[in-house]
Amino acid sequence: MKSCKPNAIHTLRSFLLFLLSALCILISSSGIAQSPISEYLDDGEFYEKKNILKVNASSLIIGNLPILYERAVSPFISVEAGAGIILPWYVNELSQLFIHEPIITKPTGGYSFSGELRFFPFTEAPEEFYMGLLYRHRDYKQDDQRIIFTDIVMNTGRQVPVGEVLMLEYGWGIGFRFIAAPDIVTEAMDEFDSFQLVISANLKLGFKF
Amino acid sequence: MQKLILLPAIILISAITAFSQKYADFVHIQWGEALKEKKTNTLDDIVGYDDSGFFITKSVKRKIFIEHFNQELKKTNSRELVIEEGGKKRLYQGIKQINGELYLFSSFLNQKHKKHYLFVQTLNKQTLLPENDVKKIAEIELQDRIFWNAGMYGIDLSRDSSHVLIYYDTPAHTAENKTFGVHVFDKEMNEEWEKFVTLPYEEDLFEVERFEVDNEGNVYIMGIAFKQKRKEKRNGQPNFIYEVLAYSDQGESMVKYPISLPGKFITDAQLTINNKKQIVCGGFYSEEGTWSIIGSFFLTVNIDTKEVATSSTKEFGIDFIAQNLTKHKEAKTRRKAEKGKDVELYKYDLHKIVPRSDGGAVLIGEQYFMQVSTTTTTDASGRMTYSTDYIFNYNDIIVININPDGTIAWNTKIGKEQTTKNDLGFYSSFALAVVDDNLYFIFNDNPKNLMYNGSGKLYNFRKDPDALTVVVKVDKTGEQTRKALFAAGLKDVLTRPKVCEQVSSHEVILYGERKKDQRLARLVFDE
Repeated sequence: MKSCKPNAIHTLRSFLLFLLSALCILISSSGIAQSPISEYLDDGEFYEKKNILKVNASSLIIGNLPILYERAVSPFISVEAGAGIILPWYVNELSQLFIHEPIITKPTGGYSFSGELRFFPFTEAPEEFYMGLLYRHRDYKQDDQRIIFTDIVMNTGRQVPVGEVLMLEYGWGIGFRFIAAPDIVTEAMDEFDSFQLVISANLKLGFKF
Repeated sequence: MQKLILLPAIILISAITAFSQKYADFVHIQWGEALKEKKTNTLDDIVGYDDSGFFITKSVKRKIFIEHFNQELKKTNSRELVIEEGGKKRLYQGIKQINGELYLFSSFLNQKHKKHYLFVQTLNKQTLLPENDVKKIAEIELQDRIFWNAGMYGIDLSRDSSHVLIYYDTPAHTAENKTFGVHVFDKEMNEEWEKFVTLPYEEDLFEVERFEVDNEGNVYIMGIAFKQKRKEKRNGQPNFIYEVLAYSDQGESMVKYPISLPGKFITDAQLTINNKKQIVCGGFYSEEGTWSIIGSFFLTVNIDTKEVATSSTKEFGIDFIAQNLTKHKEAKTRRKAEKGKDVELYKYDLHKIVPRSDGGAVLIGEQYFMQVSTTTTTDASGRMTYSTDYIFNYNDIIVININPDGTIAWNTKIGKEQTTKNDLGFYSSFALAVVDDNLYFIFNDNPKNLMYNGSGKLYNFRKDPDALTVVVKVDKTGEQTRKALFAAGLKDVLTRPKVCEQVSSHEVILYGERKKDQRLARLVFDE
C-alpha cells in the first residue's frame, strides 16, 4: 500500500496537468474563435482557393473534351494546363467558317493537350479579367491518318465566381495554327493550308478549390 | 637644442587645436556596438522611445522586424512582426508611440466585403509581440475589386500626442467627386469623431497634400484644387489654388481657406498648428512655374475666430539667391538680375515648417532633383551598348525664418552638394534637430567643405571612407557653424540621414551602415 501512494499522487498530478492543458487549449482556441476582428477577415476563403478544375464547353462543340486545371502561381499570374480526348464529331471553328474545304471532317479519335500562361492585371489571380498566351496541340485520327493542329493564341477573358465554388469563364482569342499531316502525301496536303489564322471563343465551367 | 624640442611641440599643439576645432563641441556622441547584418536588413524607422531605450523597425524581404535597443544602444530584443490571424495575413501600416504605448496599425483587403479595413492593437514593449486587443478602427468602401486602387490610410499625431488622426483616401472614378474620410481618436485610441467628406471637385481635380490634427482634435486638410483640367498652367497663369479645409466641433463645422497668390505659382506648401492656436501655412512661390522658386509666403489663421491673422509674401532677394554659387555663376546671376530678368532658385522642396513659440515659423527647404543619363559605348567590334544612370541630386538647404507679422527675420542657405548615382540618394539629404532656439542639420559631406564659408566651389559628397558626417548649427540670428561629427572610415559606417530621428528635446538617434556593418549612435546636444 505504501508503494502505491506515490503512484496515485503521480497519476492524480498527471491527470490534473492534462486537465489544465486541455483547459488552456480550450481557452486559447475559444480566444481565436471569438477574435474581435474575425468577421472582418472572413472573405470566404476568397483568395485561399487558388485552383480551378474546369471543362471547356465551347471545345465540346467542336469535338474536343479537355479537362483543364488552373493554378494561381503568384498574385497576378496563373498557369492553366489541360488534356483531353477527341470525340467523333467536328464542327467548323470560327476561323474555318471562311475555308471551303476543312481538313477535318469525320474524326475517329485522338487526343489534345494545352498549356496557357495567364496574367491578371487588375485583380488577384485566378479571378476576373485576364490576358493569356495559349499553346494547344490537337492530334486527330481520321481515316487511319493523323492530322495535327498546333495553335498559338493570345487569349483574353473573364473568370467570374458563381457562388462560393463555381467559376464561369468566357473570352476569346486570336492566333495562328500550324497544321501537320504526317500520313498524308505531300500532293494531297497541298490542297490544304498548313498555316491558318485562329479565332477562338471560350466558355468554361469550373470548380474552385 | 631648445628650439629643436619646441618646434615639434608647437606643431603638435597646433595640430591638436586644429583637429579639435574641426569637430563639434556642442554635441556629444555615444556610439552603439557595431552590428553585422545582411545588406538587405536595413533600418526603416525609429518608432518609439522611452526610458528603457528605443524601438526600431526593419523590413527584410517583405517581413517586418521590430527591435529594441537599450540606453547603451545595445540590441536587447528582436522579433518578426507576424500580423496574422486564422491564416489571414494583414498588411503592416505602421507603428506609432501614443501616450507611452506602442500601437501597431494593420489593414486587410476583404474582397468578399469589398472593403479595406484598418485595425489597431497594442504592442507589448517587453516581448515585442502584438497584444490580443486588436480592433477595427476604419474601413474604406471599394468600388471595384481592383488591387491597385484599394484606397490609402494615413496616420497623424497631434503635437502633444493627445489625438490621433486616421485619414483615408477612397478609390473613385475620374468623373466622380473626390471623397475622403477622417477618424479622430484620443490617446487611448477611443474614437472621438469621424466624418466622410465629399468635395465639390472631381476626383482628378483635387489632390490632398497634407493632413494634420491639433491638440483639441480638430482636423486640417491641405490640398491642391485644379480648375477644369489637371494642368499647372493655363494661358501662362496658375491653374490651381491651395486650399485648407479646417474641421472643428467634432467635424460639424468646416471652414475653407483658399491660398492663392494672384499671378504667382505656389510650388510647395506645408501646414502646422502653433501653440497660439493658429493654423500656420507657409511655402514657396515662383513667377515662372513650379520648377523654381523666387520667394516664400506665410499665412496664419486664428482657429477660434477663423480669421486670417497674417498673410504675406516675400521675395528671397538676389543676395540670398547668389549665396553658395561659384564666383563665375554669382556674377552671371547678378548680371541677369540687373537686366531685370527673373532669377529663381531651381527645384527646391519644402521639407518642413517649424512653428516658432511666438507665432512665427521657420521654413526649411532642400534642392532635390533627379536626372536620367544614357551613355552609348562602342566596343572594338563596333557593337554599341547603352547604359542608363539615374542621378540623384540633394543640394543646398534653405532656411527662412519668418516673424509672426509675416516679415522675414533672416534667411540663409546651407551649402551642400550630394550628387550620387543609381542609389536613390540612400546616404543623401539631411536630418534635422530643433534644440532650444537652434537648428541642427546633420548630413554627409566632402571633408573639403568643412571650412566652407558660403561662397566659392562646393565639393561633392562621395561614399568613401573619407566622407564626413557633419552638423551645421544655425542659431537664432541665422549664423551658421559647420563642424565635423565623425569620418565614415573611422566608424566603418556612413550615416543615413533620412532615417535619423530626434527622439527628445536634445537627443537624436543616428543610424549608419556600410555593406554589412550597421551602427547606431546617440547625439546629445548641449541645452
